[in-house]
Amino acid sequence: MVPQFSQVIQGPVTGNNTCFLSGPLVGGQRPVQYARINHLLNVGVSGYSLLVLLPDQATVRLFREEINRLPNGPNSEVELQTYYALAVRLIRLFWPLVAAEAGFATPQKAPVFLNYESAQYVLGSLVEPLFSQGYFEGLAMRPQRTVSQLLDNANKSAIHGFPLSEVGPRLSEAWTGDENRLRYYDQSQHCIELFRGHCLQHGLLDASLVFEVFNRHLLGRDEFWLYFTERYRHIIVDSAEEMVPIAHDLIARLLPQCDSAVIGGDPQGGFRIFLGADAAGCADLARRCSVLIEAGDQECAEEDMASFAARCGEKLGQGECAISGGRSGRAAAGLIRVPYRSDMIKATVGQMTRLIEQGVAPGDMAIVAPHADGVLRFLLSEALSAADIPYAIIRRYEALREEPIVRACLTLAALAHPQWRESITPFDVEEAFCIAFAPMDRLRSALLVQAVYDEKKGILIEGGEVEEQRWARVGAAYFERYQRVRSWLQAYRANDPIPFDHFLRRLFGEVLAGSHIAPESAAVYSKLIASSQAFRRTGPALGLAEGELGARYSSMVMSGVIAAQHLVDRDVPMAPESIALVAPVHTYLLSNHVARYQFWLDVGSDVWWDALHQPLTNHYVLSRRWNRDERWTDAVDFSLRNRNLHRLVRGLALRCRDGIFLCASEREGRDEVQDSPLLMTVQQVLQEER
Amino acid sequence: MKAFVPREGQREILDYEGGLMGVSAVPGSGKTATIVALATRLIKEGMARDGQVLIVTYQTAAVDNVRSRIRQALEEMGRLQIGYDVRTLHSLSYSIVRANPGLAGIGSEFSVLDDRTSSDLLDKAVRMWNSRNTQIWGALAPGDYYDERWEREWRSIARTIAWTVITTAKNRRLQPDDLFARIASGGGEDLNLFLRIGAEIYQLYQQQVETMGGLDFNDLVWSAVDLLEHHPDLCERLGTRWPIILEDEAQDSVPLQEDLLSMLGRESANWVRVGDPNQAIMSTFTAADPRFLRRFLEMNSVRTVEMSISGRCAPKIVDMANALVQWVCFDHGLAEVRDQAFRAQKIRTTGRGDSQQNPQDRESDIAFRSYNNRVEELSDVARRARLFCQRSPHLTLAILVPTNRLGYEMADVLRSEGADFDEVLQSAHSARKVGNALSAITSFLADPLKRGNLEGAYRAMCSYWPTEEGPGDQERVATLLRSCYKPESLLYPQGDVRPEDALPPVGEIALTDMRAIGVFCRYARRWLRATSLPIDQMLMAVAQDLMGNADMARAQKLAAFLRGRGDINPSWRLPEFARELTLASRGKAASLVEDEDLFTPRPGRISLTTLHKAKGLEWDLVYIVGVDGDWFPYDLDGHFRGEYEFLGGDPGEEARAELLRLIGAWEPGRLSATHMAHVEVIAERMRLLYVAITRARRYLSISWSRDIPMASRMRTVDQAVAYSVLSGINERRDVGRTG
Repeated sequence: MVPQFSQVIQGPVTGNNTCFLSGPLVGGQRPVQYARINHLLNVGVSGYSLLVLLPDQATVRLFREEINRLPNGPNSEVELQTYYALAVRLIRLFWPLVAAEAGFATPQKAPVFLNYESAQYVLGSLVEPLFSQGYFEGLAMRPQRTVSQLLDNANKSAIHGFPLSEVGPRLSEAWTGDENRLRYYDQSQHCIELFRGHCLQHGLLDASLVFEVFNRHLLGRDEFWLYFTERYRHIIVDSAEEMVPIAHDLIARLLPQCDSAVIGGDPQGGFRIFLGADAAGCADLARRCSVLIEAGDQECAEEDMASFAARCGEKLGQGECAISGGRSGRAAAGLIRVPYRSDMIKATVGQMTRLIEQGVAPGDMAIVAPHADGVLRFLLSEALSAADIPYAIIRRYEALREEPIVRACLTLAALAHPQWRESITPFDVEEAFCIAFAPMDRLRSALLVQAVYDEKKGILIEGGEVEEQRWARVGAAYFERYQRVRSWLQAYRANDPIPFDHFLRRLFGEVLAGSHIAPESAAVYSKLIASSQAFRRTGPALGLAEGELGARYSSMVMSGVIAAQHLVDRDVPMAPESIALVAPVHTYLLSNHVARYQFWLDVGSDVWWDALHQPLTNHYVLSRRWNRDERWTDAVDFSLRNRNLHRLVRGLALRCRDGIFLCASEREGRDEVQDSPLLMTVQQVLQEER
Repeated sequence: MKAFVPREGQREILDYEGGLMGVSAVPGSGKTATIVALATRLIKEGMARDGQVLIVTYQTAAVDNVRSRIRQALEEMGRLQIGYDVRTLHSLSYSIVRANPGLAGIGSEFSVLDDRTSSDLLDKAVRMWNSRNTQIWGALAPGDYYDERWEREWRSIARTIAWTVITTAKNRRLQPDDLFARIASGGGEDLNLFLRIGAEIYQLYQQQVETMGGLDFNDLVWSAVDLLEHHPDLCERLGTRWPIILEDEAQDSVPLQEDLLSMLGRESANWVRVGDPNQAIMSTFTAADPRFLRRFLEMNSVRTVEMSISGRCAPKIVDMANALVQWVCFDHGLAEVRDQAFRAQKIRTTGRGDSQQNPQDRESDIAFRSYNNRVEELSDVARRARLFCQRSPHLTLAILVPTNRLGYEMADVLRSEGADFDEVLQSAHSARKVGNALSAITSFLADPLKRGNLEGAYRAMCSYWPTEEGPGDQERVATLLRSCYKPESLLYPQGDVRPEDALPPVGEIALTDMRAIGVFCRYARRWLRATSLPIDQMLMAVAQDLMGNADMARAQKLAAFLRGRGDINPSWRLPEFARELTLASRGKAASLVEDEDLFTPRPGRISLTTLHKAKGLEWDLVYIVGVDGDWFPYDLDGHFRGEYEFLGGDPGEEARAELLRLIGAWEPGRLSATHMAHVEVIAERMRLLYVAITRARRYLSISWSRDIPMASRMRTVDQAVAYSVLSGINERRDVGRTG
């Protein structure tokens, strides 16, 4: 912890004492905030009067763990929440106050909150007929991606506080490229307005409406504001740079009226920029506080690392390096550059092995890559296992359908629900049997499927009808198990279907569960159940009959719709200390893990520098910071990418103590030559120091 | 690395200080070494300031070669590996577009369609057009009516027309709508029918490409050009990044390449173009045109340098090559061939003191041989080649054939002769090998019970056997696996069952075979476990177990390719992926791998390759086979593919000429478009012969056969006129020597 931060812990609890702790997160704002909360409770402040705003659910959990350790009494219950969660809670509470004014057609009905999946479902259903009319023709994106970007557009208008009607015009005004794009922007506008109208008509609140209703309607009501400011007298905000502009607006409005506030933020940070994070807003908040305590990079992290980050920033056009001390050359422990990607992995793991031999703990090492894609994860897993290095791969949560247990259970679900009329291939059934009858090998599963599965009718035949010789080959032991599963399915089919999440629970408990299910698979299964439950709860509001929910949900999963958990809440478990961490760059940065050594993979890849390309949206243009007279030119794009790259480099470097290994292969998986701005920048910095 | 001591010609290039320079380099003149030396000097002197020296070359294999040579040079100088960038045209375009897809007007996750996909889409477009326009193509049939045979033939003709129009139009940056507009304003219905047909098929083709969210290779370069043209700030930025451009193989430049590089070089105007117009052998089937380089060399603003000294070939072979050029330039019967085929430049041998001395004439020879028929020719060449290898195992030898088909025939003959040879034919051998192996293994994993799949997986694994003991007797083991009627017991024996009990009761199985089966089963089980992984990870699991680095890179590409297919087809499972992989590997497996290995001839082994693929290589002894008048036509009376009398000529070429005329890029002259195309064929074949001759360091043999197979018949052909001319020169020279 930077020493000067600690002075706020026991600062005054009255008299509008507002403090901003400015610096990178590694400077230690969080311990200060835990301590401040503890102090407030100790001096008699009621937990009820604390507004603790956090950037995401993972941070909520972290804070929760700390707070639970505090030995305080009954008034110490502190609410920890994200801005979104706060908004949802208060909308639910004050619904009658705002529903009519916000434009809902049936304000007397309780609101239905859509999670990301259900929002995708609703919007997807609305725009599907439009695709057939030629909307977005030529973009050749899967419908899910189109829908996802449309939702993003709606969300952006809400979190930046401009009207939904301005989305399309803003994008069109800024665009300088191919003319067809303008047509797509118009179509996009039409779609999101259609969606908004539908939600208002049916009492549905997606994230954009949550933000709008809260920000524009609820916060604007005097009676609500009175309640809010009387209740929340003390403010704690963590990672303000990761918050959206309307969250900053709220905090800014609260600041003059509160008794005390401690806000932590890094005006140079903001990794969630594609979700609306606004680092500039964080700087505004700093100016509004009565006390500003700043810690520079070199105070929060190793000087060499800070210098390295600053020099890279200079090369990337982010201003002159303001750090006088430190040697950037020392930050780079090594440059691994080899022909092939598999060589890069081998060299990386080889270097890790040498470090371990020198006494570095695995947990003190982290491997980051711009995307931990399937091929990379595979190569790394194999190499680390072969080298006996314990590791944890923190990965972006992929589509549920990538998980074998999910596919297996959806196949069994389809067999149990013939009314779904889903086509189930023999291969699907083979996979399902391998899981349901584990341990069962693929060949015996295939033999069994050949004998018992009638693809045309979509049924499994009675085991006794199969010739003995076949059972002899499959294994007599499987006969009973097969019969049991078949009977279970038959019995289920004979009755009325139950809610899909209930079905999944029964399927797991009565058919699949056993010691052969790996903990990871069980965890995936519980995500599936939670996801389907959330979907079911919004079902009626989506106009879906009970009987349709299972089929719709199953089809959504199999078409690759990302689980809600992925987007709302990035689950980043901290690896135990003895385990080397492997993560995609953004995930790693948000985990705030600090390592002695970092390995940056694929530094030759442009993906480090690439913007998140989404043809229907643009998080810069749809930001309140965007000057509407500006145009989205290559120069603008280039400058912003450099800025982002610097942000990543700085974020990583400040989270590293002893050295960074930069690893590149000359050929990426696609056989493209790798020579990226990151590699060029780093090489220039290192060359200058020679 | 040996210190590079430049000779005349090379020195002038190394003194380059900026501006436009054109270099015409004869075969074996050290072009690559000179480019590397120049690039290294420019990097060392910081001439690119904060940017990079950009080297653009033709193939990825050449990229690797140049890159590793520059890397080595910089390492020896103790410098970091910065300041240079080596690209093919396609990878350069790809990186420009990929960084700015939105500005280019394409989806963010665009894919570059490989040759197979483009080809499939073209076939589909042709079918669609045909089904809607039966009357048109039906009326074109010879005779009074059309039948299935004509339908098939027409499909092939339409395809050629379409591909010619598409390639030409894209290289001139004409969208289908633009082309229609030109046609409408240029005469509409009165214009050449084949151009109109080609334009319509182009439209259908392009619609499909766009629907896939992809770009074919031409689109890719076009998009890059458009970006530079319409976004001056981007152009300026990239010009700052690459302030100096060194272009290799400039004789194979296509219009889009010209546009792209000239735009990139616009600001700094530092562009060195290196090539040999006399080795332009791609122009009849791509948009490449050696005239671009020739025009560049003739521009006033361009400093032209000739690298005319070569230490590769013995003087008599140099003389033979020069004689060919001389004859074509001055004595060929067709004026257009005299003008177009060659640039009148001579190869000169190295002088005393040069580090690379030409092999001596007394250690070299040239032979011309005539045969009655192809079988005789191939057998004799195979026999001679094999004997040469035995007698001179320290020397390298190649058999160069005009077509892949003839290559496969030659390969069969070599096999029957028991000769050791390396085949470098249609698709890169190693790329095919990777594709085939992974396809066979994936097919097994998708359907392990299907008869033949177990054997197929074993055979695939044989190419990469992981243990020193080897795969056993392959045929015996394959037979055993093929006949295994309980593969589940072999792979997963249960209880007291032994794996060998699952094999057919053929008596005692050799221990080595049984062990090999054991190894195979172990890997098969491992891969079967991997089938629960996403397809790309599964494929990598297999590749990782078997393949070395270069093949792993290809496997990664296949893995990414299948992943992409899976993203577009979310309902696909392993059987669908297996089918896709099989199709890909049966088609042009090399299409998934844009490049090929840089083939290195091995002493004591015969290299078998085509005249085209031989470019850039050299051997001590070269056999050039099939030098007949059919493949090397002399005049317009020769037999040319694609020409149909009843269609008034070559429909593809007629369409192309009309298109070029519409845009002002061609004026009709003495000859028709068909004949002009034939002139180009004649010219290019002469250049091909020149390339082939200059592959030989010491010994050269040129042969032809009078009777050659044509479909199921034999046809009598004439000797190539070039053959007669050169053999006459050779004879006179030998007589002169012996007095």
